Amino acid sequence: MSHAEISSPALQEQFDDAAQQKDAVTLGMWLFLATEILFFGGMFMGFSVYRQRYTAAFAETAHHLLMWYGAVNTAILLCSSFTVVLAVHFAHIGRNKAVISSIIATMILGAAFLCLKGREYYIEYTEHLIPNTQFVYGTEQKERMGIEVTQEEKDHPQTAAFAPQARIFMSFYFMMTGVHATHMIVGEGIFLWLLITCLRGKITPEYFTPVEICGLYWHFVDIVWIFVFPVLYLLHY
Amino acid sequence: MTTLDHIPDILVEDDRNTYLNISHKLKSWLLTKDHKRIAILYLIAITLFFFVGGFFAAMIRLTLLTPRGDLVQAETYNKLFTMHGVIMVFFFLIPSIPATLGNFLVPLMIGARDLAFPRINLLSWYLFMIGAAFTFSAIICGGLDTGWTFYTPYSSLYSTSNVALAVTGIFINGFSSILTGLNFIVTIHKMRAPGMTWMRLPLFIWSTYATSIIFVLGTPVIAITLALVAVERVFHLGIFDPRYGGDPVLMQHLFWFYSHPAVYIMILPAFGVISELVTCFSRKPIFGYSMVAFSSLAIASIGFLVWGHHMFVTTQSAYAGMVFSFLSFLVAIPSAIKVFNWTATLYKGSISYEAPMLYVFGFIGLFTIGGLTGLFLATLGTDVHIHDTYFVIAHFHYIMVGGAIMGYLGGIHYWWPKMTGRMYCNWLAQVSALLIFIGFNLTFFPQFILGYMGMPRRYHAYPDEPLWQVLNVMSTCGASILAIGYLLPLTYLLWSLKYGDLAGPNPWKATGLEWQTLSPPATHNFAKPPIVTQDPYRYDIGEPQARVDLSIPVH
Amino acid sequence: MTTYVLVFISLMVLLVATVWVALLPWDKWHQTQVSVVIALIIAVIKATLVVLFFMHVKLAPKLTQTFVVAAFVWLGIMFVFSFSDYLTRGWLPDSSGWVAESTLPQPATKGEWVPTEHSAMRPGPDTNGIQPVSGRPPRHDAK
Repeated sequence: MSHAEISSPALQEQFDDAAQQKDAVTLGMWLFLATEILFFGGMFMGFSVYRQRYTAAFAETAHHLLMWYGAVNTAILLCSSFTVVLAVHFAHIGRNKAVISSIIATMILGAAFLCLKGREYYIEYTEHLIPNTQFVYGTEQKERMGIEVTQEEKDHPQTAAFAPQARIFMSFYFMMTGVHATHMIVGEGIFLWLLITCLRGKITPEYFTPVEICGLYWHFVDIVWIFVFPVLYLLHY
Repeated sequence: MTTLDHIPDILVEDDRNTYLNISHKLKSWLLTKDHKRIAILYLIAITLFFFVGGFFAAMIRLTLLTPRGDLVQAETYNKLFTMHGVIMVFFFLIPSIPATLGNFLVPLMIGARDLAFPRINLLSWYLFMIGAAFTFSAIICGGLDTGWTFYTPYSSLYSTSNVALAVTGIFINGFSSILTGLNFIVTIHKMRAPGMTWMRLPLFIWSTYATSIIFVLGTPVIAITLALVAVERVFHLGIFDPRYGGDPVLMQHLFWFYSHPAVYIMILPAFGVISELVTCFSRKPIFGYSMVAFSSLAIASIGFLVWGHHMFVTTQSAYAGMVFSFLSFLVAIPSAIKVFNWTATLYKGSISYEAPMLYVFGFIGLFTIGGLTGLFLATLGTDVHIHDTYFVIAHFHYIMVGGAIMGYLGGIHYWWPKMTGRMYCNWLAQVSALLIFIGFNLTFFPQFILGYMGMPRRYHAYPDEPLWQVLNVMSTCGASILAIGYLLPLTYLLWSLKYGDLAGPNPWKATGLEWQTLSPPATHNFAKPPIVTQDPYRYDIGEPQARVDLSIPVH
Repeated sequence: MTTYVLVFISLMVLLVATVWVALLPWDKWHQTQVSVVIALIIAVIKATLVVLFFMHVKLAPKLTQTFVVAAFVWLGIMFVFSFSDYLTRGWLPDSSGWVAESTLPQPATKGEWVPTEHSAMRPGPDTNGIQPVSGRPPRHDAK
């Protein structure tokens, strides 16, 4: 119907021109991210309430998370945000091979994050920190029950009286990191779609909105982790 | 300038193809991207859900005919009121006007071809249906007895009903709402026709926009709350469990952070409908357009600050209670502004009493009563006595049924000719409206008295005293009349599809771009974007003119 | 491009800083809450850098910026008003505070902790309900 439709095959019929479509799609993604801010925010709110009330118990339990895993994971995600930014930059200047490399790098970094997270969950499982029937908290109690206690735990002994609040802490830990990891997995799927779209040659310097939109999603998941890491892992006091 | 008897050719496509008859295949409906078809899909679904929720209401009222309430067992009664609440709130009221009238009218009213994201619109409908499937299967597999508020620790620990299944359905439904709200916000910002400035928008668009803000900012919080409840229930985590030092009131904070703004989701679109109807049937521009427009935004914003008034009798701090109480008084002001403005619009208007206008009158009166009784509940001192009594139930039913449902029905009756191209039988519609009004008042006014006397809500039994039973029996009689009133539109509206008069583009002689398309509209609404040169509701300059300036060349 | 590299380097530096700060002996200096504040401030700075530069919000239209700010403001509303409850619970004269201390399960010894059930919550033998704490069945018109 209009000239713009002919020049840009990606233009959808409800839009008048490519600029309107790009504006609308970007605004739509930001609104979706706003909903995600409130979604994760609810969990942060719950965590903060309990942290304020049970400060000592939460501070002690935080010691028993694997801080170095968390730190390395944070570094991985920051690198992946950088590769995403590179992807958008290269798309803007038309270097398609570099776009594809950046996308693949992002996906590899994301997968590395998920592997480390899985390893962390496994270690927490062996340390009886999963808040279900196998949850045991309290160094003296563990020794009495014949459960193996690591040296690190002996350096920061677990106070048995804190067990109920430690259970709440670990519940929030698994919910927050679990929901985050789910978003990462979805992100990997989204980037796989983006990779296929690029390989099909649909990304040009005039039309690289998909790269930007997927990038926004990835950055957001990174930002959530930027808050999750200190709040869960680093508040040792 | 042309009159509306002759629609300019630039506004319509080939008039043999409307959005309804362009294809009759089932696949064309189930895979449609047309906002109008999606609106009809929603309309069919929520009508069905309304009658299911109504069935549970009927069972409640039948049980309460006798003081011993032994029509059903106590546990069954718990399930009845829970399922009535869950279905009516999440699967009828919240989607009702936005998903049906909103989806249908937003692009038409702003002069766009469709919403910004038609495929996401269709996804919204599928998410809605999938969510309903989950929740309804929870209902079929033994029901749900936690109350629609899912308070912990009962819902997370002690209830033996299908809580996790039901809340999964509501979670999925929440994403349907979020995507609809997102769609509306982007559409209203980015796809208005040339000349359609913000202050020329119909007030229905303003209220839909305000509702969409609440959808986007509020719904995710209930999503995470219900997710936490479900996970806690399935995996026994302990977040809301007092035995581990958890606080059940935390769940209430998170729950009501959404659920209070949710009630504004239910009423704001009805406000928009009333604004449209009151101007058309008074043949007058709205009094105080900008105040009505901004009051919608004010309600959406302040409405997020008052949720603690549902928790006055919990362990919530009295200091926080005072703050919430004060803000709850504040949020009543924008609603009052609207009521004053509608009344001022009626003043010296040329009023006609077609069915939609009867719903307007019902709305203004009943919503005002509901709103004023809300102030009793917002007051800390009185709330201690009437919290969790039938006073609360009467209050919110005045708003939701006397307000929101009347607005919904008024809107359906008003835009029915546009959606279907047919007119229904007007006198029968007027009789239905009257029956609904009478039935409604007979059902719910006695409940104010019962609540004041102390009858608790969610109880299957009440003291065996004459007055209490008389009031309950009155309420049940009223509910029967209300049921007839609701069933009647089902008959004459469906009848009109085949036998009703052809409506023509503008049977009400209303202003608004949606009336300047054919009835029913063609799939793409407008052949070329209309150019808007006039403020809305200009009934004062005589019969509405086509608001298209033909001297300006269209692209 | 330079901006992106600079921001990336800043983010990594801030990550190292936040871990280093967390490992300092704050309890010896009696300033434990300062470490919390610093950790949160660094997180906010990192997030702001990502939002402004990586997500291009600095260059985005005012409308986008408004929605981004609004989302955080609404989150703030949730925090502020909820905490207005939790932080003031102890203010009333005979308030037992956030949670009545006596209801928190306390282990008799420092040994095993096992949750106990409140007797009030056990379902009773009759269909109509819950056994009250006293153990007497509820008064019911069961003639």
